[in-house]
Amino acid sequence: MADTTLTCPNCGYGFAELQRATRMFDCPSCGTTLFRGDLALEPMGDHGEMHEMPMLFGLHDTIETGSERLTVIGHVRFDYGRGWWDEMWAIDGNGNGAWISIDEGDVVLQHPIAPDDQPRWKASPDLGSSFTFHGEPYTVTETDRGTAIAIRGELPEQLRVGEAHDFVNASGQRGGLISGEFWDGGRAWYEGYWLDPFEIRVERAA
Amino acid sequence: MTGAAGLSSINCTQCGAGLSVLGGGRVLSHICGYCGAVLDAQDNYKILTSIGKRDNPYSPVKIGMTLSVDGAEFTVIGTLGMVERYRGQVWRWTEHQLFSATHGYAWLSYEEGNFVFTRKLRRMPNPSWITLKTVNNADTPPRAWYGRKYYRYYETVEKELDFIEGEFNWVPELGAKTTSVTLMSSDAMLSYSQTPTEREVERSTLLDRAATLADLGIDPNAIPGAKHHPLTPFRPFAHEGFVRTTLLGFAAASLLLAMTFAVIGGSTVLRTDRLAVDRLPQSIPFELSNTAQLVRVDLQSDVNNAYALFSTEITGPDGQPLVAAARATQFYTGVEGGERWREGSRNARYLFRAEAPGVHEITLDLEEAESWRGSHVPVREVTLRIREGQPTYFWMVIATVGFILGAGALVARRAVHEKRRWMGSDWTDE
Repeated sequence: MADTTLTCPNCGYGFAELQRATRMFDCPSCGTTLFRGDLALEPMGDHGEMHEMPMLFGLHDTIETGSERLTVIGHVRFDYGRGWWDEMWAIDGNGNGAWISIDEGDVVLQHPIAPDDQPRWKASPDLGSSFTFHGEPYTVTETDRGTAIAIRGELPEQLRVGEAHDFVNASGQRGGLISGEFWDGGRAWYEGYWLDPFEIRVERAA
Repeated sequence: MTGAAGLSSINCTQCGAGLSVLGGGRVLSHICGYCGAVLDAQDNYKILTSIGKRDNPYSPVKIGMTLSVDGAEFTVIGTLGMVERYRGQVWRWTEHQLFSATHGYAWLSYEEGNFVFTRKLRRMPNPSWITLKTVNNADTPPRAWYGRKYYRYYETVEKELDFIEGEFNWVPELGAKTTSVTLMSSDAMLSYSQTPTEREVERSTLLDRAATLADLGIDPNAIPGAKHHPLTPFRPFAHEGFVRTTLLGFAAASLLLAMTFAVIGGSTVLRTDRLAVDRLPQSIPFELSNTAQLVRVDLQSDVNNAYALFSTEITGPDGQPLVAAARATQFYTGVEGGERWREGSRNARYLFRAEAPGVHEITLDLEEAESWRGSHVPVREVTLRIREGQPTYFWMVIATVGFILGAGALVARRAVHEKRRWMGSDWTDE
């Protein structure tokens, strides 16, 4: 469902097709990152420098994965020190969203795990830690820290450029992938599966 | 993770040589091609070990070359020399690590003039893992299902690392061994590969040689020709499926016509009662009106456990001999080992073409007869029947055979190709 009443408090740019679930977005006119509160839009600073790189798909592109057809409406780039990876927020025809992580041909599609269903850790577990989720054994195969360095489009949660969080990736024995993100006072878990970059059909935005 | 922008070369921390940085953020090691230092790409190119200067294995593919595979742009970032030893035989080939900013890491193998593209599968086949033990215990070649295709067991290879240079998204070690169980479909191979620390399933496809050479910028005349590869695709003739179906359709039609012609009897112009053989020879007139088609002469005798040879002579309306033919009827029955048997036939026939309509005459005689049993009378009676307008199915049978052979040749060509593809398989039914 689109919201047609919002304008950028910094430059007056009007947002004609903003998703109701969108919590934050960047103004394509002035580059200000905006947070949508209950009553008004709140500027959150600059949306960062998104360097041009060859990408499997990008903002506003539509992808088909065989089982899902999603359009990318948000893009966050995270820096991990030696390089970066991209997280895309994409929605289907009903407005349901998913995160798609793109990291040098490793593509993962994930959905948020409800708080009461999440793995037990409140902080980042150690590498090699094991747990079971919905009957599938998982092992933590990667731990690191990422910092948001650029934001484009619409996102379902509040995020500032420069904000950092710890993350873990855990691989399931049956091919699943669970990721956890941890920051001061909060955490989020996501479950999903790998996508084959050669099998993703991409419709480029006009 | 995507590598930091702007880093395009480093100096080897052991020998100082300039080294191009072509891979992405997931590159873990960089082996100097000048001094053999193994550098940690994730830790300021710290020296992990050194393998010394080694001779490059032959490959026309060089680090820094680029190629496009299924629309993805790849750069060659590393070279591995591989060796397989089995019962005194040695096979060598090279594998090149590829990097694409959009599609990640893959492999380009060069073996006996062929280029094979290999990439790790994230979506697992079914079954997701096959071991050498699985193969050894199987009664039939193990199979796997992936991407709507079946893969059948092809071979098991234990390959050893013999040379390393360039960038890799792992840390290769000289002498490290990998065991791969390989299955093959019509156009790809699945390899279940295991090292002491890792399991992977990879999918390999044969690249078009000419297009790959052009993409890499390699002169085709400067390298040896390619040997046959198991993934060499079958190249059907133009419209081969249509041609094969059409040939089989024609074969069916001509067979149907042949069967129809065999059943159609024409019109009877002479049918005698039973003629006593002791009253032969006899001459019997008959009239023919159809000279466009064949005339069929049928003899039927009551020969039993005996042999009888009849002669016929037919004269035309002008009284001149037209046909002279002898036909034997012989029929035997008996019991042997408690089972009845029979062989031969009491019937005989031949065809001829009439030259002119009108009254013809046939003279029938018994030339000789002999019984299997000494005192038995070999033959007592014979009947004669002549039909005109007799179609012949001979050419229809020939056509049927020709069409079937044509379709069979197309099927056989494909079968020979398949047999050649699987010749290198190490599967045995024992």
